[in-house]
Amino acid sequence: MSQTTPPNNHPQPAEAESSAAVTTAPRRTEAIELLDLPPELSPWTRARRRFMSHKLAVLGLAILLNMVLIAIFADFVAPYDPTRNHLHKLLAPPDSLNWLGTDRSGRDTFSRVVYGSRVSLSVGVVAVSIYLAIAFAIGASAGLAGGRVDNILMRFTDLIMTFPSFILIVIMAGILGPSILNVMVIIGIFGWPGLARLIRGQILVQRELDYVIASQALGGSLRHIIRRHVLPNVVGPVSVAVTLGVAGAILAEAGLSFLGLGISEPAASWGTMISNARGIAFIDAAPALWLSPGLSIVLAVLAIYFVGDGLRDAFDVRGSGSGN
Amino acid sequence: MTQYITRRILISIPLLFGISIITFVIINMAPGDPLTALLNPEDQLSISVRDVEELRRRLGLDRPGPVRYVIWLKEALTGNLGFSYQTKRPVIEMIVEKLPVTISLMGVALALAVSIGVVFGVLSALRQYSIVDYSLSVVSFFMISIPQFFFALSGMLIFAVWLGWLPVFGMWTAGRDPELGDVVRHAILPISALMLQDIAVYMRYTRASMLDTLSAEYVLTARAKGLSETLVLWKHVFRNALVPLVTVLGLSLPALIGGALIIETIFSWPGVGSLAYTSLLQRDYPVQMAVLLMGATAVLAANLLTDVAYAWVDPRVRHS
Repeated sequence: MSQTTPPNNHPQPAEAESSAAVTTAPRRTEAIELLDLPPELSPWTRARRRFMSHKLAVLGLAILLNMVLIAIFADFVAPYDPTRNHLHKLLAPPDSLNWLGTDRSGRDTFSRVVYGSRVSLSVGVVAVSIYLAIAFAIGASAGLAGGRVDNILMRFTDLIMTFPSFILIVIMAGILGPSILNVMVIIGIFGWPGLARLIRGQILVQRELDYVIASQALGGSLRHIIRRHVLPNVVGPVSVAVTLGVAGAILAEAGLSFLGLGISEPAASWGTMISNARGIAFIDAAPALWLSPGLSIVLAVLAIYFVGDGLRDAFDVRGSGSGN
Repeated sequence: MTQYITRRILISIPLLFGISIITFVIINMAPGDPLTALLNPEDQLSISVRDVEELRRRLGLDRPGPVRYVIWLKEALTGNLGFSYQTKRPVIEMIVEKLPVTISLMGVALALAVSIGVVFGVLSALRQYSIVDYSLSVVSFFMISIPQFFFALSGMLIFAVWLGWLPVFGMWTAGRDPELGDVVRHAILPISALMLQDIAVYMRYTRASMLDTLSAEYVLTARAKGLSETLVLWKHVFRNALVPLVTVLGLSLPALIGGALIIETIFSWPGVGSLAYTSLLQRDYPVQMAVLLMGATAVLAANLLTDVAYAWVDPRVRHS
């Protein structure tokens, strides 16, 4: 568990020896200089530095930022309208005008891959935001209330966890019908159990830590303790789980759309594109048609996992669940 | 131990009821009237409204939800999960006949994933921070980032279409009697796709667990006693490092079930996964309901088994 105790509240060994000293501040600097320790950094600075020294994480972040920019400015990046049919050019191989060729309806594959990033990233972010809210409500109430409330909420969490989530998602999507909003909501309402458990566990650990007990003894209100001591320490593990959750949601959307139960035509989703390409003829007829969205999924998910790994290092999180 | 097992089973019973309630509620959200699926479309034109109401009453469909739940549960407990809208056959029969295919597919994938994952995880841990460790770690990132269906299609393109080494799909060559060698050749691509993510998961867990154990004090003691490195690694480190992996085993099942649906569909394997997919396309809700119910029950049972196994290998668990 991340036990990064706030450095400023704790007496340094050098101070402890001379308890009579009134001028602690200069003495402390001296001690640090003597020991040749680096100057104290805020936890955030330390986390940022650790993240930046993780090469794959930085690479992942760069790829991810690029994808976000492409998704936002898709109108300018894509050479064509992703839903426009160029009827004189059906199933064309890649050339200088259509860099990745066209599909059965004569739509430009490259433009569709570009617009597909919008679908994937927004499903990932919205679905995880939905389940973060649910997980926080359930996990925090269970962890803070304890007793019977905790027991009931955790048994309910166990119950949801016994369902194979992909089967649940697929069946719900079949019932509610294919639409981007439904996909976001369905992935969102079934994704929370792992994260709720993590948040509850973190709160239980934090509650027992000495500085929290000290704060309680000093008369700190519950609100103060949560905001000042518990939340900052829960941020690390939760941010790792949330990052991995976005990757999981993107994969779930791709799988759902591939099965024809996610986002339907003519909207461009990477999973739907692969599914359609497979339906046309055989997979070797136009490989660019399904390889390009497929590799885009891999790249997006990989970048997110790298970032997650960097965050894990940065916040010194060990053995946290992936949230799925 | 008996006490521990009894307690675990008692905790599972309310969960089992919970599973049945949630399954019932979800499937009852489905649009449409079950009667339309029951009646022959030709009859629907000639049948009178009064007859429809009479049928509805006889089937208990006019009763409130909780009452219908109790009726359904009573039937389900005696093994009657209803009849398929499409084939009109008992759902339980349809699933049971497909179960062996799915179980063997998932079983082989899991067994291989654990073996491969453990071997490479140990290798990674023993050569921590080496090039081997680093490459394996990057490879495992790729393994968890590739969607199974995309890996399956790519494998099909490369090994079946371009190289022609493996059959494209099916469980055995059509028109011939199934024989082991043929089935194995057909199983290579599906099993590879199904186990890909799990290999990475077991590799990472084994590595972490090995590193934890390597820094344990009893390992230091063993080395200080002058035991040979091989003896220390095999008897003290490896055996203890495997214990926490037991808990991961139970967690693999939900993802494997989801994976089986996609993989069986892509490779046209006649298992529960493709049955479930067909039921999704045909809106065959009784089949969907049974798949959801049985899937969740299987996960519950797997969790129970894992807990018991863990308590068996690690006595500290059952006494806490």
